[in-house]
This record gives sequence, structure tokens and C-alpha cells, in this order.
Amino acid sequence: MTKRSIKVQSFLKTFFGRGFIVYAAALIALMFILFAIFADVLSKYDPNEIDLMQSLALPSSEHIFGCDLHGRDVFARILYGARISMLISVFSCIVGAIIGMLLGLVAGYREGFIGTLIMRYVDLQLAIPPMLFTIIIGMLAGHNMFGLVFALSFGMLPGFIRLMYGLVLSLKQNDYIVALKFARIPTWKIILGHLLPNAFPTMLVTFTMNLGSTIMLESTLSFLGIGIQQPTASWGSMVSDGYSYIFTRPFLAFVPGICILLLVLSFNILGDSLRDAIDPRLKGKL
Amino acid sequence: MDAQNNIILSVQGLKVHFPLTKGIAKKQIGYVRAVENISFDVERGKTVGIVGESGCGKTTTGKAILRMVKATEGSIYLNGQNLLTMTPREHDQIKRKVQMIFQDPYGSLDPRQKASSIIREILREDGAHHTAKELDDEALRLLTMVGLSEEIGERYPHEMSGGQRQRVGIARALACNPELIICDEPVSALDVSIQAQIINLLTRLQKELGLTYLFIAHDLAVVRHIADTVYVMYLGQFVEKMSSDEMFSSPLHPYTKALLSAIPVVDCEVEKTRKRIELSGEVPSPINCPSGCPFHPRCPYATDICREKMPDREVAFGDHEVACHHYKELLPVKQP
Repeated sequence: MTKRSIKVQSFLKTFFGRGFIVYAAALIALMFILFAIFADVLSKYDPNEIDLMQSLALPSSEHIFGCDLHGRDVFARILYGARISMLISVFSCIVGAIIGMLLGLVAGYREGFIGTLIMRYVDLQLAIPPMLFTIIIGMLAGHNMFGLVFALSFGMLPGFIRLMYGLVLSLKQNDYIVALKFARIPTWKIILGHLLPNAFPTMLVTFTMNLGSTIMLESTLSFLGIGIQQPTASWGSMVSDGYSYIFTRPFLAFVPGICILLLVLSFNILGDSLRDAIDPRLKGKL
Repeated sequence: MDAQNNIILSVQGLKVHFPLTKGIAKKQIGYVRAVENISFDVERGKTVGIVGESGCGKTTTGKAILRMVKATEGSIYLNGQNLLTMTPREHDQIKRKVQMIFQDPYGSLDPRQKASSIIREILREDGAHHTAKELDDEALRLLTMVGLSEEIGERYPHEMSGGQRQRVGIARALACNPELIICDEPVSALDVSIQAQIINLLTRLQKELGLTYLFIAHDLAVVRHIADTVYVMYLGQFVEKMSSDEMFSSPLHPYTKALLSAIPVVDCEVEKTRKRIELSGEVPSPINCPSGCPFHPRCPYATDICREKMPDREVAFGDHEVACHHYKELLPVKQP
């Protein structure tokens, strides 16, 4: 067996080390991803097709999750909504995390003037209510998906910057970083090879935690008319549309709500497993 | 080679003061006098020990030599070149000649790197081109040199014992091919049997590779074993310089005597009867240094002159230097 395949094997062993729950999470995440990709094939209805005869129809063999106020099939909207919700939350978190980590890294590693500048900017942004901030940016950035991703990732920057800043401040004091400096290891190698990998586990957990809140934030923005416009389906907007009928047609809010819950939960579990799998200290322990 | 050329490190009048600031305007309200006017030479192939209590400035001295802290005054010559007047770029060129072995074997290795990878990373940056095979071989040679096997090279730090980690730390320092190694309490975090192994390893490496050590420690027994010359430091100053044998046989400064008498004697009969010099009080704060001799508030022999005038370092005999007004009066310390 080659060295690489042993490595992959031990990675997978730790990754699935928690057993059943990780398999379940992986299955759920995979299912949603497949939903998003094959939405056209899986649903026989157009998610935006209005059929007022079917308004608020109860679940039946025709419409397994029933229909909403405008008679649109909820199952179809869930499938198409998976696309929008997953794309937006994952993309904006990735963008936010990368930029936030980069700025936090610079601020933490080179304190001084640049560091103070970045951190004072973070304070400034934190002084504005995050919701308000994201709304303003969203309005400025335009009413499309890119504008929304931009606004959402911008809004979550301070969290990532501050966390990374703190991590780098403490990590760079470590003797092994000092020893690397004595040995004339170039700064970029110290940052990429040592600071980043050691800060990564903490950042990964924050990343998966942010995924969930971003899906909800996106729905709020959609509700306020920024970002995804009606009638395009997104899980968040389905929850906010459906909750007026929470007592008469509970499935309208619950079905997308449970989807959000499952997706966030599975991402969190997978994120934790990934963190464990890349930690050499946990090798063979789980 | 004459004696002058043989000096690898020469520290002249080194002072390290940390400014104390207050409030938002960063108003300066004083200094922490961490290192106050110390001078010493380190000969090639020898070991110089610096001993003293916690907070006396030992580690700061080491850090100043590595330019990790900014020296306030004085000069540090490495092979005749003044390190403190160098530009960062010039300093970068000679950085690898001075290496450090750290106190904490847990914090000094990257938890995500295997031992051999730690060594290889350092080797790769020595300015020459290496093939992967050469790096592997050289890393293995260094690990073997510090008494580790190839199998341990494939381990992560958390899979090693404290002694093994410290050996990896030594191998990492050696990977830079240094002339001077600053050992900052390299054994104080280890248990006694491992301490001896590491000390013996350091001594052996010194013989084989002609290394020079600046050995910072608070354990007098350890320093006696490894050092040729010992400096006793108190409150940022050297109070006594002597060979390591003289430290135990004929200490002159009252502080050195007090330090030595703090070592317990194994023989319980002797322990019961022997007279201990007990120091009262605490080490004064380096922010408000006492006037005159820094040791006078705790010294049992202090007189008026000690309170007023700072004693100079005088040659007592041979290589033995002491900074005390009264050492001559205290000389005949024949125990009855």
C-alpha cells in the first residue's frame, strides 16, 4: 500500500470515527446537494407556477408537502430553494472566512499601524447593528445573488477578523514560531505552514456555525425585499411566508424549517469531523 | 589563535530597559531595568553559565543577544561584528549562527509537524539546493546525533516524551549549523534523570562539534556540571564571575553564598547542624532599583557604603571577579 493511500485511510477513519451520526450527517448533506443539482429531474412541477385552485392544499399524493397560498408545490420549491440557500450560505461564508482570515492574519502578525487600522475598522463595523449594516450593503450592491453574497460576507467579516486576530496573536508567541524566525524561514512560509494550520480548526468551527445563521439572515433579507426576489424560492423566504399559516397549515413553515435545521446540523457535524480528522493528536483515538 | 580571536561573543555594557507607560497618551512613568550594564565574553568552544533567581534578567540577556528585545545601550559583538548596529537585512544573514534551545519542550514544537519534518524544514532554508533524499538523510543524521531513532522522526510531538521533544529541539538548533547556542533553562522542565541525559548530550555535542553555549539556568548543580565560567546575576547585574568549581568551593559574594546554602544537603546530620544563610525579604522591583549595591536591602553584611555606592566588579584572584565592597572582610569563612 502506498503512503498516500494509508494517509487517506487514516483520514477517513478519524473522519467517520464518531460513527453513526457522521454517516447520517454525510448522507443528509449529500441528499441536499443532490436535490439542488437534480431539482429539474426530481420535481414534476415548476416551483413558480401559480395554480390558485390548489391554494393552501394539504399534502397529498399529487403534492407530497402540499401547496402554498399561491398554489405552488412546496416540494418543488424545497428542491429549487436548496440551490439558492446552499449556494448563498456556503459562498458567502467561504468569501467572508477567506477575507476575514486574511485580514485577521495581517492584523495579528504585523500589529503596528496596519493592524491597528484593520482592528479599528472592525470596531467601527461592530458599532453598527449587523443587520442594518448588511441591509445597507445589500441595497448598495444590487438586487441579485452576487450582491447578496457580497452583503452577507461583508456582514460576517468582523467575527472572522477578530477571531483570527486573537488566534494569531497567541500562536505567534509560541516558541516554535520564534525558532522558525531564528532559522530564517521566510515569513510567508511561517504564516502558511504554521500559523494558518494551527488556527484552522477553530476557524472551521466558526465557519460551520456561520453557515446556519447565514441561511436565516438571507431569508430575513429576502423578506425585506433585498437579495432574492419573489417568486424565486429560498428556504428562508419559505419559512417567513409560511409562518402566517402556522396553525392552519403548519407544514408550510415546518418543512423548509426542518430542511434548514437538518442542513445546518449536518454541516456542523461534518465540520467537527473534518477538524478532528486533520488534527494529528486525535489520530487513532476516535 | 590568540585569546582575542577566540572570543565568539562579547557583550559590552548591555542595558535593556522596558519603558513603563500609563494611560491612553502612553505617558512614560519609568523603566523596568531588566538588564543593567552587564559585560561578558564567551570563548569559542566553552560554556558560559548565567545563574540567578526568577526575574533577574537572565532570559532577557539571551533575548537581547538574539535581538528579540531591543537593547537600550551597549554592544554585542558576534565574531567581532556588532549585532546591535546591524540593519535587519545584515542581521538576517548571520541569524542562523546563533540558535536557541527553549525551556518548554511542549510549546517549542509545532503540534502539527512530525519531528523529521521540523528538522527538514530548517535544513531546506540554508541557502543551498537540496534534493529530498539529501534532506531526509541529513535530518536522520541529526536525529541520530541527538540520540533519536528514525522511528521517532515519524512521530508527532504529542507522541514523544519531554526528553525526546527536547532532543528534537536540540536537533533543530543544530540544523542551522550554529556557532553559538543559547540554552534558556533547557532542562528545568524535565525530571531529574532526563536532565542528566540532556546535559550529557549537550556536553557530548560540544566536544564533537566544537559548539559554544550560553547556558541560562537557575539550578546551580546543573550549571556546575556543564559550565566553564559562571556569572551570578542579581537584579539585572552580574555580582560575581568565577569558574564553576570555585562557585562551590569559594564563593565570595554574599548572594552567591546564600544561593549555595539554599541547596539542601542529603546527609541529614549535616543538614541539621549546618548554618544556612537565609535571605529576608523579596527581590526588589527592577522598577525602583535600590541605590548603591542592588543586594544591600537583603544582605546580612550591608553597611553605609553599600547603601550609597555601587560596587565595581573587581578581580579577587585569577579569573574570579566580584562586585562587593566587603568581600575581603568576608574572605576567611573557615567553618569551625
